[in-house]
Amino acid sequence: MSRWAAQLCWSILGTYVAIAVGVWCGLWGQNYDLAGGPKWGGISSDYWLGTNLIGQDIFARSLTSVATALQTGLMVGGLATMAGALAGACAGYWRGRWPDRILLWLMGVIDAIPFVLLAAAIAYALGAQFIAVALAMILTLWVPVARLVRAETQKLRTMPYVESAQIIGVSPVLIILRHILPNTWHLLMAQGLLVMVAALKAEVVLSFLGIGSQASVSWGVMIAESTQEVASGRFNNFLAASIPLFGLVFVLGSLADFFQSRRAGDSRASGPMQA
Amino acid sequence: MSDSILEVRDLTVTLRHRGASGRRLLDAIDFSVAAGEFVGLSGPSGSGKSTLALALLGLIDDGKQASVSGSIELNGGQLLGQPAAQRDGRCIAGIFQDPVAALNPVRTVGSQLREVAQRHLPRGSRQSQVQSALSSLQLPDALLQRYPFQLSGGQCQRIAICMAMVISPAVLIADEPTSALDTLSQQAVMQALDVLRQQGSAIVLISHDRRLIGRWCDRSMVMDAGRLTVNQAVSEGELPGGPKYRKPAASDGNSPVLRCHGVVARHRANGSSKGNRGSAALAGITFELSAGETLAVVGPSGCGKSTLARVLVGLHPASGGRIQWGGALERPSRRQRARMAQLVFQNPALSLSPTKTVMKLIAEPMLLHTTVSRSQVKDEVAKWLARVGLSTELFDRYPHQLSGGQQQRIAIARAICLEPRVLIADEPVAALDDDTRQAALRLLAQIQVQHRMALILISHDLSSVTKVSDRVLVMDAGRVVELGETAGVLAAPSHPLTQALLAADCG
Amino acid sequence: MLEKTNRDGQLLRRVLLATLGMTVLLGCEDRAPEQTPQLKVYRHAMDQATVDLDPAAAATIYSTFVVNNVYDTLFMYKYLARPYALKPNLAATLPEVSADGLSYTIRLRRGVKFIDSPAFDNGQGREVTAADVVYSMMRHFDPATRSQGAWLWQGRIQGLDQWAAAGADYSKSVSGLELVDSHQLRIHLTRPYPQLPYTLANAFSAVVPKEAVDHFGREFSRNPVGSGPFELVSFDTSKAVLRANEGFRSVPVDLAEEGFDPAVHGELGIEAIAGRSPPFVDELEFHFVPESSARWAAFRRGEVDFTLAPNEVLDLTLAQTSPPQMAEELQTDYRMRVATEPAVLFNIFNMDSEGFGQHTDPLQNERQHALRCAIIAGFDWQQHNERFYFDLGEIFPGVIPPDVAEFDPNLSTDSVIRDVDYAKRLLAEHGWTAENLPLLTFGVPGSITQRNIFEQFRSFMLDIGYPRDKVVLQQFATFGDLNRAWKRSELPIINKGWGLDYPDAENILQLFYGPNRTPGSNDGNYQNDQYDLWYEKASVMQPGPERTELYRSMNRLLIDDCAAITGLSRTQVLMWNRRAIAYPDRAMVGGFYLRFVDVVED
Repeated sequence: MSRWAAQLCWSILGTYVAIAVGVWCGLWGQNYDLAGGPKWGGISSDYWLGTNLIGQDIFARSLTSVATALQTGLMVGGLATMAGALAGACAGYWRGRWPDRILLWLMGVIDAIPFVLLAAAIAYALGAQFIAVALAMILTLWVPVARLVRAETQKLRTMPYVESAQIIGVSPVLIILRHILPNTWHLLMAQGLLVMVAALKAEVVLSFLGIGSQASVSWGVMIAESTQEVASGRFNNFLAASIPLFGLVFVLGSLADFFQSRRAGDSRASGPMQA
Repeated sequence: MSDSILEVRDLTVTLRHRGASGRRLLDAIDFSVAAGEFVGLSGPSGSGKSTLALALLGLIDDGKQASVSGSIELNGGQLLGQPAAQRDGRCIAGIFQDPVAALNPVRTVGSQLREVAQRHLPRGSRQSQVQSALSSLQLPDALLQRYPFQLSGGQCQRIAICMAMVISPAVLIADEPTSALDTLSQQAVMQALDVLRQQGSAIVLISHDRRLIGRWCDRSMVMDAGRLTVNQAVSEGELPGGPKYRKPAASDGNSPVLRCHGVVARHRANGSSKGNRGSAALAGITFELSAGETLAVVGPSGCGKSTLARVLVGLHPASGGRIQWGGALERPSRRQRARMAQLVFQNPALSLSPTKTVMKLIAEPMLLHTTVSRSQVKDEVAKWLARVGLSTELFDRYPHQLSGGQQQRIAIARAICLEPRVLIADEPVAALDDDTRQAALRLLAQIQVQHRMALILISHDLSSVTKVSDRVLVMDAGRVVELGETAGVLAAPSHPLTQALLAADCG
Repeated sequence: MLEKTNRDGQLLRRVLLATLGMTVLLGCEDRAPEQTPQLKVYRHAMDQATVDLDPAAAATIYSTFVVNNVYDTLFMYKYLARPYALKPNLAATLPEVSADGLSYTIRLRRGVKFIDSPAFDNGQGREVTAADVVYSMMRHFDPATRSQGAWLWQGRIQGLDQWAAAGADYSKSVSGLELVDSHQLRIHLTRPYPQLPYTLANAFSAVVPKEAVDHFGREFSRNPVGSGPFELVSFDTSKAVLRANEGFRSVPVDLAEEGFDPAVHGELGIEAIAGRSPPFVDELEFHFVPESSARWAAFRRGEVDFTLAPNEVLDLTLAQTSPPQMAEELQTDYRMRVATEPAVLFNIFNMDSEGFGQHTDPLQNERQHALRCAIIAGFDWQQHNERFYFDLGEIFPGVIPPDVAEFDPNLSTDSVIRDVDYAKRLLAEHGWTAENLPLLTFGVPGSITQRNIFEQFRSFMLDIGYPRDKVVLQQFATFGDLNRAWKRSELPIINKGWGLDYPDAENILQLFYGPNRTPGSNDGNYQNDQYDLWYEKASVMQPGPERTELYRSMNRLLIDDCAAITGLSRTQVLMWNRRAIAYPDRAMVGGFYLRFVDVVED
């Protein structure tokens, strides 16, 4: 990925963040839930992207959805990556022993349950609320992170600096926290971004199925609303949700690639300087 | 030099730092190499040897990280500016210090060798070429069925040379090809290089070992701070040597700090499956160590010396025998063991956590095991830094910002700040150049005296450790084959292995 | 009956949809029309699969539509008459009611036979007798049956509940189910139950032979043995195929008796069946296609003859909505009927809830009454209808829907006309401010349409001065969860639909009868002594002007008490292929129409 493309990605992401901050600070997108407009109104000076079935401003809803998406993404991405990193590091460090066996079994079980069914089950158990949805996503999305970190930890485990820490008498937990996890940061950054992407996509699917977040609006909600409209040729809601969603997913995915290629780039770059 | 095939003129590599030009890594290098010539290139760490190798191999781009100028001509054709990928491997080939890393771990060496042949040789002659290369390097055919990790370092390196031989490059650049190997393997690798030279390839051998260069090369070049300072033919018998080591004070014969009796350990079985226990790595090791004593442990690769070190510091489980610390203690806790024995690793760059600063690296053991508080720790770290001859300017540096010698000193400081009773150094200087190596050994000796630690020096290189050791322990295949006063062993080696090691060293 | 099958679909249905939708679609395409040409086949598309063909489990229209046509009930609804009216079916005549309203004498038609089945001794269907009717009713009270329909007669028939409590021994007789002779029975009630004949037209009351229940055991639900005009050929998750029962009795159609009105039914070609005896088609197929677009596509390809027009195509289907008219390009192939459902959609206030309900303190009671009335005045039924029901729904005041005979066309419509100013004035006069208005929680099952309904409701409330953070959504994973919350009286508003089990307003008025409070059917815990008095009086009266007047008084009382934001009857757009001669109906009570369907070959 060229520097130019990376900078473009960062600036697009920055725009999303700015929109979200604006929503959080109350600058725009506040009246996303007012049903004052006409049914399926067209584009007008009052409603820049038209209105939906019950007359809500699609533009405002799309803006607020940016904030919802980042909120979901950051929370799920952050927590799932942390959980996955810790679990993966423990499994990798005690490879073949009981923490590893338990975690591998658990990961196998979670992998075997289709995501939507698991999410539906958790939503059933906790009642359809945001926390249930986030929990369902975290519960499934930490697994790939953990698998990767487990493999990386097995590699790092044999590095002299980890053994050196063992000799110095650092406890296993501290070794994982101080000497192993910090050295997987490029991996965690990339994985965190990919988890965010997965969370965004999952949110859309779950909202479509009616188990999404409820207090606010999200692209998933808008796309779910649009399913009946698209059949009769109304695309405002669908496009206003899917284009920014696609943009964000694409940018996050590209940045994840960027971080993944970082490590290889680093060692190559350090070659001539180390001579 | 009319028959020169490689002409390097005014080669300059400048590091770029955020767009601006920074340090010069290579400064107007001029030299040429003739066909079939064996050129040695030496110099201290950071003098630019490896940078030159990378530049010749086309692995440094004239780009955002460095700027490259001057010219590199091979047989009259300009190489500079051509990316490595577009060059033909038959022009300039390279082999590196770590041969295992150069080979694909999941494929047999035979298939990798054949792949090289397929890429570079016409269909008809492939098989015979590979065969002749193997036989000229005296590599048995059986090796081809093996995977890289099933081979020793020397065998891997010779496979790498064999690959180069199949290509028959105009110039082969060998960057420290032997520094990770024991003396016997070293000799085999050097012979292999010489076979390649006899077939017409020019060899550029990069090594910090001037003796090696003196013995094998036609011409010696020395670099310092990015400049070529010496470029002269090697005259027969000329051995560039270094200052002699000061013999440290002898041990004072106190009660032993460490007593090993019949220690047995097994190779770690692949994976963790029970039942499949590995073969024996240590088959009954017995010795004693007194406070303040220096014991040299030598032996060829795979003889078990590293396993012994790992068993002593608790990285590897002993499956039999007894290890007593300070007279009685047999099962030390994590804390106790940390204060009993510490280990300095062979590769300093890998033994320091890359994401920790110097300050944190040295403070970590002290905060864990001593009563030093967080407020005092900075002074303590400064004290230990001073003891290993480093200044407090390095506090906030990361390992990759340090030189190899500095890294090794930090590793030593980290090990000795707990003031362990026994300090074990596993090939502590193998990765360092000559000057740094001597300084490091002097430092170890000095610290040993100051803190009355017992020191175990592990090496494949008899000569480098015997100068400082009180006693020598020679190992082979997990057993002690010879143990005695250094002077006595050197004067009258009783075991054939010791004799062979001595011979390889002097020859 | 509570409408569990609301149009938004439930969560599970959506989940299944994703996986099953494709399979079903493919299943349809696989079905090559290989019927031999002389067979007349009518194919009926349904949006959910029938799972159980045992009459005791016929709780959904998906079951009743099949059950009503393979089995017989004593009475049935007339084909064309609206409001719905009863006529005898298995019974020879309508029942004779004793003067005290406690005894119903019913005579059975003679010569009616069950279809042939291995369940019978010689494999041949035997005659249906009064004993079968008695057995079929007792069966509902046998715990082994797991009947979903016993509530129809619970506590109503002498000795029946006691018989069940004593171990449901079929060799013992029940005093309330008296066999007069082989073709005549008399039902004795514990108290007057004028709705009894309606219950005997319900699919739950379909007459089954004891031999078949015993013979098939658990498999009885897939092996119906009835006396109806059709018999089952095959049945799986995607399709049920019925074939004409050749031994079906001769009952020539009397169009006038069925309620034929040339003004309404004149253009449907129904005259063609006059004087002929059903069934008119050789095969009746039910296609279960849950995914609405797949169903619509199958309909347009001519693979099914009937479908409910899905919401997403209504736009294209209708040229205009009032009066509804089909788009011109569809008229050549299809016919359409916009049918009002005998059901009510309303938002009932929970009278037990903090801030909204009835209060013992008269002053506070007055304030909370005003709050309810203000919320009602703030609700915009017109917009609700436009946005969610394509302007096709029928808005009416009170709770008695237009499809019921007791509907009062002269009732003032003030309570369904929005008046924001009035609402604000009411709130101000009674001291309601943004600070002291109580929290208004709106519970919905998780679906996007339900969300929209909530957001529209919140928007209405904002208009009358409710602060945004006091109108909150509580989402439930399933309709069942929401229903439980209602039954536990946890929500201030019960936003539900109620489909009538029989066309008598009593079925809906009982939802406000005090003693029925939660966990009974009175979800709003409405309590008004006058109302209860009237209800008790009306509930034992035979139909007539006096009872109608009582019903209407109760309805007005509900409006005056601001007991609910009400009401709307949804409409369904039914579409069928012109080759079918039919007057389709998709209501709970309407499944009998399939007996009268004919198909003309082009």
